[in-house]
Amino acid sequence: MEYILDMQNISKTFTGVKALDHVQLQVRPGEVHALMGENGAGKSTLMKILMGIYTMDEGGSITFNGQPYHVHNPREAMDTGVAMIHQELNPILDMTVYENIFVGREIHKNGIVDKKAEIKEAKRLIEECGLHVSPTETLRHLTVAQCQLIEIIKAISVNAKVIIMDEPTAAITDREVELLFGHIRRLKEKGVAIIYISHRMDEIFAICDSITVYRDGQYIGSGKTSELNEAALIKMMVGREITDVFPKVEAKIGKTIFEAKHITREDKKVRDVSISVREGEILGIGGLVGAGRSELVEGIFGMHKLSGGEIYVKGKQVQVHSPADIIKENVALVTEDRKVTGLNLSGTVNDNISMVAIKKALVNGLYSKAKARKLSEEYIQKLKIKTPSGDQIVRNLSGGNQQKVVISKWLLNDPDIIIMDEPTRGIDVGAKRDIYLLIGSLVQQGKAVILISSEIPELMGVCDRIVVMAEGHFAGEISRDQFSQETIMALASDIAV
Amino acid sequence: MENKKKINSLISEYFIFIIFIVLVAVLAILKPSFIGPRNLTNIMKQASINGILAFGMMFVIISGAFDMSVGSTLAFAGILAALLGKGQVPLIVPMFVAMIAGLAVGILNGVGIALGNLPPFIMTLGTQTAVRGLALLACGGNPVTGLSENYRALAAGNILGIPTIAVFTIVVIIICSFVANKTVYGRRVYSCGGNLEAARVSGINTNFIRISTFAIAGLLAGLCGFLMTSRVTIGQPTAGEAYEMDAITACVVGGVSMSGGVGKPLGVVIGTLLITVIANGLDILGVSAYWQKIIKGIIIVAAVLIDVKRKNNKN
Repeated sequence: MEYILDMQNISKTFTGVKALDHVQLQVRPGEVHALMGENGAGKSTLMKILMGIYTMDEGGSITFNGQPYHVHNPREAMDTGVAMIHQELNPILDMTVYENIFVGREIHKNGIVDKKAEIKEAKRLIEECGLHVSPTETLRHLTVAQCQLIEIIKAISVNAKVIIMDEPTAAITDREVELLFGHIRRLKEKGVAIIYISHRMDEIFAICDSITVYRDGQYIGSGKTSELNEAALIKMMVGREITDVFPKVEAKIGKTIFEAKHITREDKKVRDVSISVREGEILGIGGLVGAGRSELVEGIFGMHKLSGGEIYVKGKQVQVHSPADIIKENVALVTEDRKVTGLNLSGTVNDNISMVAIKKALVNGLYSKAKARKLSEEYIQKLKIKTPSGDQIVRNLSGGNQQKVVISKWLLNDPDIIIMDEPTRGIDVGAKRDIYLLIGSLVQQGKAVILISSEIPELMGVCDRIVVMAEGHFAGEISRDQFSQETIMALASDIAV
Repeated sequence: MENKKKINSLISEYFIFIIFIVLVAVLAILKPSFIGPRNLTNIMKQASINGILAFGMMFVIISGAFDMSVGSTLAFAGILAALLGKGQVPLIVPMFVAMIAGLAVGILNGVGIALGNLPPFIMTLGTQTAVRGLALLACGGNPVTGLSENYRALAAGNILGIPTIAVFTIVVIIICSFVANKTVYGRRVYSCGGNLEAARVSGINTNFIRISTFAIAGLLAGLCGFLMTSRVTIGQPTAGEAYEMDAITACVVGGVSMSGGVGKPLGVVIGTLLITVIANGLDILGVSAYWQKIIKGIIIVAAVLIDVKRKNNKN
């Protein structure tokens, strides 16, 4: 048996739309197999079929471990030996670590939970994974990264032969990524196959053995990672060559337009950090996860209480007590998590785009749907938002397009200073490029952009200057001619005394 | 193909409306007197109080919460209106006082929830109980009788053939629909219910929005108290018990999502009429009150179940 999993001729049609069109996937035991493709390529749909969440169209076949594979729900998939770690984690925050690990398959005697056995087994699994948490800790008290590792432990503990990992590193630090990779290697040795979905090229080349690429619901090709390079892969994914991954637009840099001095948050997650940005400049903020970058801009934006610091917009000091105070000064913040703080997911594209600058959608002082539609259509075109119409519910858009809706919402308000917190997280190569070009056109208009990113190549590619934070402190500042990955990493890992 | 799709989406959009029409048609065939002018007037009167409460509730539910206290508020405001409506003071006085009392309860609810971070269920359960106590206290536990001629005549009267009480409801519906659809405030209520945190980051004063939706619900419950007292011609401290449930039902059946951010005023109108027509129709058909409750329960769950299924299929 060459393949542990062999999916052939898989199609899936949603009310007339072909999401998958006769695609295939072949996974060998003990390999890490990357699924690649832009958002909407069909990767998630294929995985949902494998997990029994969707039913495939007639004519496809799935063979697992040499046997025909038919499952109707994730539970059956897990019992058969296929587990999935979802991109969007759904841990039960008020339950403990061990309870989460065994949720749905509790160790019990005649219906009475054997708490001791669960704790003991959980402890063993946690130690095996190199994680330092108590099994009786409540998940609410854990970091996102720790929750993620708990999910992975959960998948491992069902003795799966195939584990699907959907963007497993989206929310964890580099150190934790190393831990995760270590674990993936150990799983490989045991003969477990991993289906790995990620937008991060470096990870794909670091950990994956083979790659299958999809585009617009079609199977494009597959091959060994060692025989492919980044450029070839991007070409397969987007169907054209992207020569310039980080387009840098030249803009004239003017005088200082925004300053935040000695920012200290009441919860001490940020201590005495000062930043400033000039007209036409892109300032990057780098650092490891947990360095306090998001916390800094959220503090500046009035989302959290500051215990110290001054904020100046165009030389004028601004008292910020709530986001409304700083929005008035034409500052915008594209927040890190578009689902939590960016979008009204049950609202339409039009609703969302007119959320901040609603005054522009008024006719004689009243909200006009027609006007809101007209305004949002302008941005749908300008930012190339892929949506059937402005009346589409935002929940139904892909990640990249949702992100463009958040950006549109702010741009409609004509901001002079735009802060973007991880604007390209979880979105595909094409959409990323659109966002870089957009940032370029903003600074060309004399606006200032502050960009937070965990991807150092992105910061180096796009920014004029980078401020690095570590552990809530200012760790250093580098200008474009001094940029190097090593310097940034060194500053970021520097633990201030 | 394109046309078929359009028709399907229209049917989806107005599903509850279609159920309503079918129900009316069936009742009209079974009992022609159902669509007689006398019964239609009756339905309007029956739907009036719940209609006003449902519109207040609509704002609260769209903002992402719900209000269990409107029935008690109605009773308390009704008692105050009755006490003032005994003498010869102009009717505007008891109406105004009843609405202010309702507004006060609403603001209290809103402040507890928005600023005190209390779950809406707990806060409004507390006021439901306490305000019912206030109503009993205000009248010493006895119904307030001896209303002025004018006051008693108000709910019994007509304006251009439409029951006066229904005219109040129609005015409330027009104002509320306008506010929900056409004003900045209305859009912001939807934004808060859709994603409170995103609304705050977008510069919306979310505390104000949340408090104000409860204030609207309270204000309208106060108005209902004033009207109710006129309708039953006495101030009853036990009036309006479980009315909040009918108001929530009207909203939910009318397509207002309990998770917030979604709902249309027209849906609430249909929701209100639907549950009134069910009760009225079963009355006319001579179905016993016990069975009525059972049937009403089944219809509510079935209507929403079909709605939910339909929405899931669409995705």
